[in-house]
Amino acid sequence: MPKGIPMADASLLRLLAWMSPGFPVGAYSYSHGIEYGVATGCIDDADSLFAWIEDVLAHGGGRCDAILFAHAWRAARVDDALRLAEIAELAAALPATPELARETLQQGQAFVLAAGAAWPARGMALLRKGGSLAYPVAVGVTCAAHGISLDDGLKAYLHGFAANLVSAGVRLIPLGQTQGQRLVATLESPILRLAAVAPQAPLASAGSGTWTIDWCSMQHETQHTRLFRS
Amino acid sequence: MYAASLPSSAGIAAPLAAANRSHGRTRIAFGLRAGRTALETLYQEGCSRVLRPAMAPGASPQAVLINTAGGITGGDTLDAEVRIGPGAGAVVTSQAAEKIYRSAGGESRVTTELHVGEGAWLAWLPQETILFDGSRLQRETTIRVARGGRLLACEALAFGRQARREQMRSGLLHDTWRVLRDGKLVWADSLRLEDDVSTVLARTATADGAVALATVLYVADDVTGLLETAREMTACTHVTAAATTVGGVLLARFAADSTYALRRELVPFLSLFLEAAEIPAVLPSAWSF
Repeated sequence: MPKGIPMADASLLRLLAWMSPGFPVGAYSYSHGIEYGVATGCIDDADSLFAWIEDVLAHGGGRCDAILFAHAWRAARVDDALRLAEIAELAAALPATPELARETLQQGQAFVLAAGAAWPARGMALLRKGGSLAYPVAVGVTCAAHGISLDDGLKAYLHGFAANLVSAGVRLIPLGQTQGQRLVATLESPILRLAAVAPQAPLASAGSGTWTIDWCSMQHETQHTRLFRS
Repeated sequence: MYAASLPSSAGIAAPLAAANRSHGRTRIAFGLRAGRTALETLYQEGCSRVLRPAMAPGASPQAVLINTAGGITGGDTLDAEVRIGPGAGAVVTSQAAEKIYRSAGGESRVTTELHVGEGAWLAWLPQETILFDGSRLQRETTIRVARGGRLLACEALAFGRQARREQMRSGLLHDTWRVLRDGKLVWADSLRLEDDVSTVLARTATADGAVALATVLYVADDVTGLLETAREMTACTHVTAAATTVGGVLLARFAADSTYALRRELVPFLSLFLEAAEIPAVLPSAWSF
């Protein structure tokens, strides 16, 4: 990087790279229960897909991830390795099913490998302390290590998360690409709402109320024909 | 049965209950003495009482928790700690459904700590918790199971008094579970519903309209051997139910449109599971129809 250009100027570029569907975390292979939801008819059009993702953001994994992201970002910001270990341990234990656990842990691990190799930063050493890393913890710490604000990082993370679920739904239902992008546009307001409130929530409130998704995820383990890993 | 578990005082006015904050604390410890499980500690304070029903010779011991206040409201606390020493085994249940009344301010706090020692077992099978409209419950359950120990736990939640066609329209439920093995957190769960609870529960991805939920947890060194059995049993139910193994625990979840429908499935599931897991206990009589 040429001298004189502040690091923060690259923030937007980095977020675009990290949260792009092309970033090698394998996001395209996770549906967060949508594959089983579509198979049973719970999700069968753009409206039911939107309602599903809206619930993930307001009451489920999206909300839980947002809280974990914010706490991980703050712990990394002040270099608090002990606190970060506590957050990482909780984040790894919270998924209700093995497929939802793999969805977050494998993406977290892949993210650290790719981001750490291409965008090394001193603060990312915190991520090498061993143990399983949930995706929001990995991204939160990486954002903090690169001086990216909590607000920007969290919005980008949630947008990537939601857009990935739209993409899964578009392929599974199936929906047209334009219909999918309309959903991505409509999801802006639930994403912004969550990004505004989640940073104030205590760590202990990280959790979810999406029982149907947990049920779909359990049933997905034995679903005959599967394209997705969750 | 559900309707029978509601005493006439169930409709107690919230302000009255709130003016008399109740606190209960129980500590129970069982240990192995001369090859048999014996009660080692029994401490009860405030509104908490423990009954020890006489069991048939050779049957596993049982402890029955009672809340003499009949329920709790905002500001009330209930703490229970159960310890099963190495090699011992016991069943702990409750006499009636725990009622969480509408809060006039503050939260009802229920804290439960379960410790299962090496080679010991515990069946933690309290009756359901009924969340009244406007109730605010913060519940924390911490489970520690030593190597070779086994724990079967069931917690059922009823959102509103269905016998009175009441719904929990608003309020707070924050139900946290932590399972630790060798001091390490292996599984955590945090069910959180706030404000427009009935509206949230009605949504497809949350509970799809279910108003009675149950979590059954089995913690042991090897839980995978029971997964097929648990899957088959949940597949046979008439409610939304499924089972999995995650983080070294076996988890089964049930969602039903009434507490009655939920219990009708939980009773055979728990009875058969006790048998399949070779836990030498039967479902407490408080559970039977």
